[in-house]
Amino acid sequence: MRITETMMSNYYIGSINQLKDRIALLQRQISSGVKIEKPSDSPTGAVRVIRNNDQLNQLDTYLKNIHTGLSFLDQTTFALQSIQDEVLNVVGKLEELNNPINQQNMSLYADMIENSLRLMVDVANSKADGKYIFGGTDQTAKPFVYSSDGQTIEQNTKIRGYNKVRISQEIEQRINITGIEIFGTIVSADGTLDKNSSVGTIVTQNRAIYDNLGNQYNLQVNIEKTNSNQYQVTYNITDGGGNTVYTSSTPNQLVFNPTTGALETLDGKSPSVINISVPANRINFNIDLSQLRETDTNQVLLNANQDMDIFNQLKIIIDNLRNGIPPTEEQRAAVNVFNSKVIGKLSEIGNIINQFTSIESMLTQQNLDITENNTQVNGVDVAKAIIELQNQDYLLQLSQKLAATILPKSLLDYL
Amino acid sequence: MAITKIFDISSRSLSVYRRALEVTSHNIANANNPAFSRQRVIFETDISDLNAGKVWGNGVRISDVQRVRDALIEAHIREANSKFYNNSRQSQLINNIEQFFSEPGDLGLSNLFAGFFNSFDELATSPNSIPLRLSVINAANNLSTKVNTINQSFARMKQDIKDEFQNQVQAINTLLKQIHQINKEQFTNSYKGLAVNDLLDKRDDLIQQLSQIVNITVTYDQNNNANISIGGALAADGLHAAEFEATESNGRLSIKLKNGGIPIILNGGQLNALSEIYSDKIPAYQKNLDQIVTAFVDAVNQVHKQGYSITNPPQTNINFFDSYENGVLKVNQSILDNPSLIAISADGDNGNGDIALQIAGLREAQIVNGATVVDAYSALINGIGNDALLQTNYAQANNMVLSQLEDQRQSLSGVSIDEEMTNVLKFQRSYEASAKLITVADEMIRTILEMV
Repeated sequence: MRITETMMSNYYIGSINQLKDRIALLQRQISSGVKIEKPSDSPTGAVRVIRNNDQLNQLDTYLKNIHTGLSFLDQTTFALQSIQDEVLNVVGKLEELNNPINQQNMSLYADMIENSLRLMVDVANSKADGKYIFGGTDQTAKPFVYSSDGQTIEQNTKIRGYNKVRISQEIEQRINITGIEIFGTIVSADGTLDKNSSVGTIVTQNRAIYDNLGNQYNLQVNIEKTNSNQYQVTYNITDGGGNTVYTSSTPNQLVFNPTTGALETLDGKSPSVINISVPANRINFNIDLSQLRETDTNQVLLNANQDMDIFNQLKIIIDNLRNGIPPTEEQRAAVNVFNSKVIGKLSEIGNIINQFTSIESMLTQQNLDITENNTQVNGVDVAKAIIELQNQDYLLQLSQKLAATILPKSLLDYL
Repeated sequence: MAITKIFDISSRSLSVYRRALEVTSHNIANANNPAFSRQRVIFETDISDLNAGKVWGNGVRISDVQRVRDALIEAHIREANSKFYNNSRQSQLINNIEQFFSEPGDLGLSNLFAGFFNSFDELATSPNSIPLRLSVINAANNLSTKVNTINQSFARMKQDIKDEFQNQVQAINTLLKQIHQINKEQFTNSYKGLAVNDLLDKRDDLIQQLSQIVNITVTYDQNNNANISIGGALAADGLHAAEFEATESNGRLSIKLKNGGIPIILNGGQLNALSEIYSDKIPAYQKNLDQIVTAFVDAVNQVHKQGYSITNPPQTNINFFDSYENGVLKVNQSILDNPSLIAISADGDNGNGDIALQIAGLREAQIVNGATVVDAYSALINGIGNDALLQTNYAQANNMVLSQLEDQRQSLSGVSIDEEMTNVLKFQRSYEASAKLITVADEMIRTILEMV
């Protein structure tokens, strides 16, 4: 083949360009630490990196959420432990008051229990991360306040609702104990409704309820069938004299699942507790209809978790002590029940914390795995790259030296 | 034979070798001119005389100065040029498009989508936190800015391509005029018996330049005129040069004859690359991006509208995004002005973040034609990456073919200094020998004269 000087210089320039191109690429990779700078460097690799980064982003958020949740749960645990300490203190004092000798110092005991009560109310109103720990999803007002006359402690009517966080792709976990769960009075309607009964059939149930001063009232719950699998619920509260103090203005609409018989919706939403509040009579309790089932029998029972909340229970005990009346067995039992409830909630929180901790370990491991995968796909083996860079540099020098020696030569040099 | 004949033969020989040296020096002078084809002097024996029953040689003469050129290689180079410049330009343009998306990287849209969903996940932990609400707004702003920037870049690139397309059409018209002019000149010069090699080199170079811009067909007539057609339309010959203009029909860029006609089908050269990217690739990428963003905006708005704000009183039925129209994504201005309007409460309680969790959950929802946002977006990026890689690979392959063809052309038509210097020596020696003959003849005549 006939070789011209232009061909020789073209070969030289071509190979020099290739070497420089490779050297530039290696230098960029070493300085940036990544192999894939743009999708066309490796279309499938780029997609893997995008997906991995997306997952890493998610994991970071879940881990952040777990840390936020753990911090809130730790504060909740601390608050519940503080409340429990005070409750145990009160239980001890109430036990001591069984001793007739101590009954001579009822006023002193009243002071001591009042101190515990104030501390408990204070803790129940405490905040973590700017939120009322027991405020549920309503953060507009303090969960508990003393009434203007100081006789009772009034509960915010909306201290319900779970504060949920996502801690993995599939898991949304609540991080709070609501005020209603721990302090609230919940009347639950348990039992069954007859799906075969005719429209217009009314099932009525009554139960004693108490105001914050300990006065008894009667709660009447009326459940009327309005359509197939549909009912409406109304409530009446009457005092000891038979006077109506409350009638529900709008009935609650219940819809049951025709197949499973479970309550599907309450007023068009997923079932939750309904708060009934009659401020004039210091009545504040919640009704839970979620356990109602539609089967083939009408049998509804109204059960309450407590007659009244712990704060007003203690307030009555204190007022009685100041009036020389020792606590009754029922009152002692109510305080002990509350103590058990606190222990139960502490255990519930412990379980959530354990779940968070396990998932945190899992997510951390996942994070490491994905990061490693990302490194395999996109990371630069710096040592290998440097060796190759050195090699390419040698080749470049060699190529330049050869070109410098051979290119200028022609017959002209020997004439 | 008379002694004077020696003078004649030697004198002619001197002229022939002087001319040969001129051609050689012309070759050497153009050794680095890539458009030049080496020229070769064709010697032949001058017609002999018949005298006294004997044949008397008349020495040497130049029958032709040939341009060493292979028409087949030239045709292959034109074809390879057309393919290479098409693929190479498409590769460059798609590489530019890749940069719009900044993938895979922190500033890429995938990361900003993730940031948007994450911000809602975090807001769910503390739904009434204003800093976290501002963080949602920040994430939404980053996302909308990136979407808008990508769309603006597409629009700007389309305009740039259109401008470049028009410039290239002007370049075609100029080249066609020049080729036509050279056709005319070479015909006239040939007719007058003048050398046309350099003109033909110039014309070949212009034709190669034209083949880099657009797909052409070249034929040569009996007068050695180059007849050029573009997409079947006669563009230039010995008689005229056509003028083309850029045209856009149904969003497709093409060219057509200025005096009428239909748009020409482009299939090679830079013009085809510009048309493909402008008319096919960019609209397809934009459509894909629009689908993703529209599905995303609709899904977020649909969930957000169900939520309640933390204003007093709580408001509902609020869109998070105002609109996504003409490539512009707008976050609801009211939300930008008042973060409390981010409606993530499912029941109106200001501490409820259920809607935030639902919006964050859209990350896993198959809302874009049965795919998640990140999957659909990854497919888009994968498509762009593959397109760029494909064109780069084609360009590299065609470049190799082109290099080999250029080598072949150089091997045949290129100037070798060694070869030319050998010729110089050879012709110089012949010239010296001819001169010496004149001296000899002179001495012979002097000898005869001295005898008288």
